Amino acid sequence: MQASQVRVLMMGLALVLLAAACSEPAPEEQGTSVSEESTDETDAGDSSENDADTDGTDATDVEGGSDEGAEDGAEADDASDADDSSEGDGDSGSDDADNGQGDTAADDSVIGEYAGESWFRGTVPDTAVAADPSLEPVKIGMINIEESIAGSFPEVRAAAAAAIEFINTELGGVDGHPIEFLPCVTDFNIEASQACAQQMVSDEVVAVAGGIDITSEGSVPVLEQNGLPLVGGIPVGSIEMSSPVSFYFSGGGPGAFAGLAFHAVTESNASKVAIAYGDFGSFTIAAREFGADVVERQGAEVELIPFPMVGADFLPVFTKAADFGAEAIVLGAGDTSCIPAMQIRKDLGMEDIPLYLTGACAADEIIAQADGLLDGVFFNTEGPIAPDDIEGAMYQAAVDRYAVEPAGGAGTVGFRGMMNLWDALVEVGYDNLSPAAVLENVESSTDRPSFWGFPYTCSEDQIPGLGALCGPNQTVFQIRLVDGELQVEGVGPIEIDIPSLVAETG
Amino acid sequence: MAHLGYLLLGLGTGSAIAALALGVVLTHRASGVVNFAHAATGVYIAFAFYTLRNTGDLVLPIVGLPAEIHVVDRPTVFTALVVCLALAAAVGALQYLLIFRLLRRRPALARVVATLGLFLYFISLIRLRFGATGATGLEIRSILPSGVVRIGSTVVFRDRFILAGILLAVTALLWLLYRFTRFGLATRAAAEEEAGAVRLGISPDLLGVANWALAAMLAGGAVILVAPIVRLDPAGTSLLIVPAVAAALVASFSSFPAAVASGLAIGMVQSELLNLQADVEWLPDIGLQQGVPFIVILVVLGFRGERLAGRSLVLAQDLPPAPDPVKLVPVTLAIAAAGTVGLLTLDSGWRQGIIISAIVAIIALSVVVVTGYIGQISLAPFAFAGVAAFALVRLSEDFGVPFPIAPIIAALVATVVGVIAALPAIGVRGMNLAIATLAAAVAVEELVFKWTWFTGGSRGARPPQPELFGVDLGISGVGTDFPKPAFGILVLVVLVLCTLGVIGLRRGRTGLGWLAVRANERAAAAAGVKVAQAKITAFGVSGFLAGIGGSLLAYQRQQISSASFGVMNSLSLLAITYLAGISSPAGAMVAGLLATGGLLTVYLEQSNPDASQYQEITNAVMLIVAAIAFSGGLTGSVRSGSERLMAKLRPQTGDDIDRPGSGFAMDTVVDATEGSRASRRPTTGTAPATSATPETSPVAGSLSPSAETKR
Repeated sequence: MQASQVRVLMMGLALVLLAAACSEPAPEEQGTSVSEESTDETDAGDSSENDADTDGTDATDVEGGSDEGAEDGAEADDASDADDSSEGDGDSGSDDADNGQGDTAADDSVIGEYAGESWFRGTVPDTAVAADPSLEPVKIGMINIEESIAGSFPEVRAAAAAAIEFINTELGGVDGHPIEFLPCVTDFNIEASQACAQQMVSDEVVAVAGGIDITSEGSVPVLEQNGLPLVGGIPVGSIEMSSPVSFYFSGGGPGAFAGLAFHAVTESNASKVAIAYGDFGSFTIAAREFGADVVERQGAEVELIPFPMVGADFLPVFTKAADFGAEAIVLGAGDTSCIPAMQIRKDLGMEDIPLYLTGACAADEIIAQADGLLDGVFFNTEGPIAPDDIEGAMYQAAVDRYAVEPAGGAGTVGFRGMMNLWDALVEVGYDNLSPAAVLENVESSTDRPSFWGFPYTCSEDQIPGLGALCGPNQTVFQIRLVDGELQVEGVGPIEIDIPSLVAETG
Repeated sequence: MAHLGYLLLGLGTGSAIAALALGVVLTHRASGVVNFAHAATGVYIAFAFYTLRNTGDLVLPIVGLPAEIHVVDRPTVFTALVVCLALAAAVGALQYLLIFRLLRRRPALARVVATLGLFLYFISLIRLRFGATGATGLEIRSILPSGVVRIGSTVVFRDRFILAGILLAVTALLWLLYRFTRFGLATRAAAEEEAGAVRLGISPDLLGVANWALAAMLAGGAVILVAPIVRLDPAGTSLLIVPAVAAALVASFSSFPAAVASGLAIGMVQSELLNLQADVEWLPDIGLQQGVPFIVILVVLGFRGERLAGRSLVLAQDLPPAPDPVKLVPVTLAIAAAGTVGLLTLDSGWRQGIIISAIVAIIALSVVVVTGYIGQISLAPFAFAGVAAFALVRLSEDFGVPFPIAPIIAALVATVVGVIAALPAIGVRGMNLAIATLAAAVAVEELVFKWTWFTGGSRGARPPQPELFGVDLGISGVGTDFPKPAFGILVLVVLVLCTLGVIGLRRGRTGLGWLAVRANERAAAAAGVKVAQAKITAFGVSGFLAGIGGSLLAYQRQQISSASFGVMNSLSLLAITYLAGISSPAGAMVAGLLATGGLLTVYLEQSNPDASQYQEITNAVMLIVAAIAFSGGLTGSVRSGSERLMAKLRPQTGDDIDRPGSGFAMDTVVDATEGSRASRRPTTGTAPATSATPETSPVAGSLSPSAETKR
């Protein structure tokens, strides 16, 4: 075959592929399995350069309970189960009466199922009320990374979309006005993130619901310049953890490492704590500046053990911890590290040394594979652990009803963020809505109830230098194998006040 | 714990690197290709293996075909291995038949670009086939016997030793195969002199298929065995190719035992560094484990550079022509004028596209200089850009240096780095230099970009916005004012100046010296060109251009971090510049258009907002196709096409030889001592009706793109 003929053939093949690609519909389902009450965690970040780890773990009732997960030290915050116990409630008993102007939804609505129960806005309304589609919508944006080599987290967007549908269909929107969702997908590219942020500005959204944006150094400066609040989501980079327009209902990696380290010293009584972490990005900051600091302030010794994100064998890591004489090990790494790390711990006979894992390792897939490896392991979550988890159940019911794509795993964070944002929008009121008003409202929050999470405070830095981490409190709990099933047992759960802890270490 | 113990603990990671290095050496020995997609191929095979074990389904590698086929319920380890190694062989054979056979006589750079496309293809394929959960949804258990081995106080798992043993056995087999069997001898013969081997009845294609199939089986087997140790992640595990290539480089891409020894050594050193970094307080808190092995490699190259075998030969013969760019002056000015109009009239999306395209074009100019003009493959342009970007912030914030002095000094810092990077180039050629610069880029990323003072660490750095005589030239703006046209005009002015500068250098004595070195180093030296000085100058200019681009990127992004200037950015830039045309400033302009976030991206997003999930994998295929089909890049193809068209339209005369458009692949022969262009002679195509008479003895050199690459 002549070279020119080959060229023609190759070009033709490429054109066929291009045509097929452009006409290919998006998949109906991919990735994370959605289990009914667990949050799966998205892992972003095993590779040194590019990945981000997000974590959402799932806790309490590991075998099937509803929870959410803890976060992965570095990048994802996904969280937890929340008891609907938020304190701060009370004045929201008539949410739907305040918001809705539309028709009452059917009796089989989510609201109808949980009517009268306590939730973050006081009491769940008695009846569902739909927003009026003829009214001017409230525009909410989102920047979320999908379909990239560094990871893809469509579940965050899908869950936020489900929350919006839930709000529009059953919670009356914002003073009767429906919410219009305008997400922008970025693909692990700074310019794309920047373009997405500019898109948010062009679309004239009043706020950006937080997703996962690994290259947020592109988007955050644009949002800052335009005073657009970024509310909820999973903090990945340091810029978004410290930006004046970002507000996360999470403690990010710093909160996770601080909480786990504190528990190791005070509850596991470890006088020597080894902190092993993937040497990349905010893992490093979280481990060194928060985890290690907390250990030392509690009077214990700490050994920091960084390992490469790419191709690291955990055998030297755990051996080093053993050589140090560690009485507890805190490990911050991506979800693909969980099984190898726990297996090596077992093979080295170190199961008597408490192991603390950030939330990525409590994903359903990992739990399913890990079997007995998880016995005795400690995790963190960012909400109280309670048997009557109404908000978790509501989340699941809403997702089942309104999600058009898989919305589990890290989607819990997207759902929670959107619900909290809606809370703020309602409080501001449609007539006063503007980015500045929303920003001011969220920024002034003090001990404010969070949907399915700990109350959050954005009015002052909860973690020094990382003012965007509004809800850093942690619950650390242990998992034990009981009668062949994993249960929250053993030491804890212990709720940890991260702001006071970090303030002491300051 | 004895240090020796930690070295032994590095056997796991070292085995992974060594196993991959074996395949890299094999591929290079057989085909002269450094296959950057080798590990990614293995990762796909490993995913297929563990999926087959879990579900009985075999995931297929070709998009468009069914995603998977059911093979057998609950296959045993042996069955799954056989099936997947057969799959690997098929994948390897296809890679050779469809891609690398067609690139056999193409520039080394084209093969690099093709392997990058293949790398992206497999990563995208894994994402498509296995979803966002990736390997977390797979049960990955070691198929090697478990247990522990105690050596003194060190506990090492038995499977690490078994893995090392398997490695050594495979290495020995490969050594025997290629040294004593007919197949091995034929492979070596074809590699050294293909034409002669053909005359002896040896089929290079058959050998190529067999060798690539074997290499893919090695990749698949390697990742299957090491996945339980180093984890399985599409991007992360695929990036093990970097230390694997480093190990292969130390082994001169020829020795299997040396590659394995180097790979094991890298893993062991990383393990010992883990030990030391935890204990030794004065060791800096930077990516030592990842970076130091590459420093070692650079040192090895520095000492052994001239004696390293260069597979690809005379690189200059492989590069497309570097025509006189004088006609680009009005074109450049016209582009700048059009860009200015666009900045003043178009919406923010298009303005951003113009700005990003212009900045990337400046950085791409650095690639044109160092690779297109002087024939040195450098895989570190973004490393230089990043050094300048962070230097800019430090100069502005810590020393109060104002604009425009700060970005100029920052670019000079990058120039110094570029000159330092040139030092290995003096003794190293072709692909070896490419690997060396790749190693340098990784070292910069791990050791410099993680230096907290310099880069702000994980918190990143924010450069102040540029301002000149009270005029705000920054990009930031509220609402649709962003990006501000003033910043865009600044970028366009810088682009024009840089382009004119490159054109001037190309047409002057410096550029002619570069081309002479590119054509034939020894001949250039014989003619009086100071080869080392020429290379250093080229790298310095390249570093300066990349530094200017890096500073502008810092202003454009407004916040930069160590992740902003990673190795993959350099590889991507090299690929698109090659596609655009690596031997001309016009290619740099087109590269800017093609860059992510540039004008083409804006156009595609506006014309097709619902991008398909297959977009990324389609891009990878297009990259491979372009590497095969466009040897001179887009600009070269356009130029060749227009020249042919002009030739057909114009009657042939003797003067045509000296005019572009004659249809010949012209080469420029330089008498550097005379400082003038001595003669030109066509090197391909129809014999000229007349020939120019050289004024002085020419420096011979052939720049025909159709000349065969000697192996």
